[in-house]
Amino acid sequence: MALLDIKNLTIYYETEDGVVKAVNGIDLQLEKGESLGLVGETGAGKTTTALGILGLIPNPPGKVKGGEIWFDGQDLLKTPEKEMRAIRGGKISMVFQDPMTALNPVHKVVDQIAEMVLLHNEGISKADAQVRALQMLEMVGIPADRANEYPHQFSGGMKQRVIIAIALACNPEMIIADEPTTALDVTIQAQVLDMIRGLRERLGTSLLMITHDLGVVAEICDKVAVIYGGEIMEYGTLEHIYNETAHPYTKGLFGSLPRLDLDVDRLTPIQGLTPDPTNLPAGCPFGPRCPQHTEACDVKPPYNEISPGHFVRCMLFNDQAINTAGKESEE
Amino acid sequence: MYKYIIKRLIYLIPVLLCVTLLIFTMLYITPGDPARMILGNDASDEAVEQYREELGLNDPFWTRYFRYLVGILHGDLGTSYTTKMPVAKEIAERFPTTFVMALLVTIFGTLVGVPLGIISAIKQNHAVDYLATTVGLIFVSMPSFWLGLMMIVLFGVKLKWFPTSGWYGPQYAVLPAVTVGLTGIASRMRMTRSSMLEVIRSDYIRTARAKGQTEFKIITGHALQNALLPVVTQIGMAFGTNMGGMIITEQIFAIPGLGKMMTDAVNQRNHPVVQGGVLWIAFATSIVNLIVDVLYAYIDPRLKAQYVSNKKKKAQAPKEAKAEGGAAA
Repeated sequence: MALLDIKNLTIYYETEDGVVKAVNGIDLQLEKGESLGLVGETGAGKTTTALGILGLIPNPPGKVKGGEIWFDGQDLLKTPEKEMRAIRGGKISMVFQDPMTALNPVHKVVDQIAEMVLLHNEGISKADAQVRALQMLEMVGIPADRANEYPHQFSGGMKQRVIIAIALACNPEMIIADEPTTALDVTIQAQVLDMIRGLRERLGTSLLMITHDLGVVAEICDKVAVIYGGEIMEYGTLEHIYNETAHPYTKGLFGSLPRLDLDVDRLTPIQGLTPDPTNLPAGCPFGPRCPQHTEACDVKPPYNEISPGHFVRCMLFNDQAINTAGKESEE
Repeated sequence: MYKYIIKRLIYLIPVLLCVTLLIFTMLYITPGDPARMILGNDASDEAVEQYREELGLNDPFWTRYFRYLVGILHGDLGTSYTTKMPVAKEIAERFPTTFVMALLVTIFGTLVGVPLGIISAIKQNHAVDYLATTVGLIFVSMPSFWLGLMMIVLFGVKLKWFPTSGWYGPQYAVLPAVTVGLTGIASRMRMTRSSMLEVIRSDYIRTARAKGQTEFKIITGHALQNALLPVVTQIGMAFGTNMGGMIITEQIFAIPGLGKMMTDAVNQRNHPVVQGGVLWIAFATSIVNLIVDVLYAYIDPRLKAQYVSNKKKKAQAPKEAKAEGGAAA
């Protein structure tokens, strides 16, 4: 059984200007010890999915409209708030996108790590929590003599290390990393990614990596889910996504990457803009931008398994489906 | 930090010098003859002229100003025209009353206003929030002289709970403190609310939630300290203003504070008292501002960095570089 099993998760933001359909029936599985990349453009619903798992959707305006999130045999959407607090940080922790703002500016770095330790280890003394916090800092490569400094005395990359130290402080079963390297410059990105990979290998933590960077995914993840308009477009192993790319959207994403091995003057971007989440197309959300668009795309395409473990939501692959039963998520 | 405080205290000297010059000039050009005021309309012109000479009012402006400055340097703020008492002594007599009042008002406004602001921010757009903001708006728009009179009518005359005027014991402080305090509550509440609303939407509050922290601790442990800065500024400013005497309120409740002393002195053209009072208020306000600025450093460590002198920063820089290198390795 998968560690994390999201079934048909739907999250809307109900604002005065209309209903923002951020996540529309997502299915995702993450096995124990595995790392899954959730790839998509800005506004595709990646962060909303992550916050949904932790039950941190700001409400109002956000609202989970339906679906199930099974984690360790427990439906998180039906878990009472008190138990959710034990799960947040204790079993699932999150690394946020912007290290510049994710740390409390008025608390010492060591205290922010120790806070996590104190919350999830009942009966631990403050002194022991501090010791554990110092160990975590050393683990992410920050010398302990800087523990009593404040976040503004740290560089961006070091802040992100602190955030990762906080996330790992209580040995969680799963980490959700929401674009952990987006706000960092390239050399620091590589360091942080190396560190995440190294720590994960050592600690065996499962990882849900949210990113828009296909390079990051290739480096860190075992499996990939491509999300667009709040729906999973394609899901499979690295092999499936990178070598047997099926969905036109995924192909478009690869087409817009600069390549070193080919001499091209211009990149081929995907035409058009991401759909307005208050007014999604009736059929395939990618339909209006798809170069292979046909009339068949005006109805919602089914989520087909085209080879074992490789799922695609596209009309083009309707007849190649080896198994659609149970994976149907049409309304 | 101490260096910063000493620097600020030295800056105080030119500020106070400017204050003396301004207030001295203003009083110099105000119409009305202090000698005439003191001696009354029945006094003969000769008597008035002789009295002017005695007070030194006939000397040129600069002579008088420098005489005044030299006096200040010797700790002499002049002598009150009416009571013939040293101004410094008069201020020292009045100041404790005003200080106690200002303290009461500030504590009352803060203890009620800040929690109300927090609640109203957490319950944004709920009934509690609407109620609190509406009541806040009403109190902030009510002039204190009217509110004071209404307080006297209701609690003093009708219900007879509290004495209406004078200053003979703690019960006399209640009505004036509440009158000024209510306005304070309202502004404190609105400031806390807006500052809190900004903070509770920030990323680090989300981080705290993702840690599994309880909502109560998130507000008290994470949000409040960050939201406090503008509130402390406001409290400091209000306290500074109140230290100068709550002029209208002291008048209404007949409290012998600095405010009443100042209004009386202005009416009587009692120049030394006005000058001394203004100088004292400027001094007190500056000190309060300094205390507020020092408090900032304890609330927000980012600001503390600005107070540390450059020399110290340079000494820290190599350490920083070393740590950075160590992290990268």
